[in-house]
Amino acid sequence: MARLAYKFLRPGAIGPFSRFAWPQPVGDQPGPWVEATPARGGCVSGIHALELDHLAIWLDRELWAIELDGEVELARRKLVAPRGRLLRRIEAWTPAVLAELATAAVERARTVAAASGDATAAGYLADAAQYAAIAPAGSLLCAAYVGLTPEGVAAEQVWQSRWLAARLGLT
Amino acid sequence: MSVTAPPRLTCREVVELATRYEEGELSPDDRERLEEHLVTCDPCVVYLDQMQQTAAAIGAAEHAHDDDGDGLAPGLEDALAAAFRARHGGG
Repeated sequence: MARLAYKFLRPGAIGPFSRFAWPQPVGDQPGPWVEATPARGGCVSGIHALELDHLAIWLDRELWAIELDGEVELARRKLVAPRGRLLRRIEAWTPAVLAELATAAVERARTVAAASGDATAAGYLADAAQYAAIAPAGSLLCAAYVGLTPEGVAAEQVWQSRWLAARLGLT
Repeated sequence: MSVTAPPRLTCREVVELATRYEEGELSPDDRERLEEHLVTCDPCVVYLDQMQQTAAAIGAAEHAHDDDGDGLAPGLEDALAAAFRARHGGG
């Protein structure tokens, strides 16, 4: 069953971990289907993509809409499918939007840290604020760690992801 | 009692795991932690890219043996020697 998802790629539509050069759409036509290759070690074999709630975990320079086909599974914090094809690049995803996201996440972290009153959370908040302008992706991670527990961190990353999806108008 | 979120991998740990990562030998947990580190660490991305490129170049050189299979092809051997001399200022 076809499903819309999103995928962060390096410049030139290169897979950040696989280094696979994704065939790109031409005009209004989607890119060609890409079939998953056999599993490598412990990696779940398949085409990896993201639900909206996991966007902020896997940031990279380019963001693409991707159509997945076949049996789509949620493995940890990624969708995995037997095949997929790029539909279009999300041109609204820019360094300026990343900076906006980092700023918003720091403000959010400020509220969370204040509510917890925890010194460790305050430390993560300080790091997030310090790095927001110079290393926004790292700042986002620090802001998420204000959640402290695995569940708390995950909740902050969902908040960041939903902020980004709303900012980019993704559904 | 709260459970603290697991610490991120350090760059040193990424370097230690790099070979096993490239060879697909990490557990899914370790693989995901390493990749999560890469999202926020460009130097480690460069390190892994260079490692992969080096491995690819060595693999290509291994396929460039001479006809006897016991040495580099003559042209490749000369080119490597010239590059080494140029880099080290030798004559």
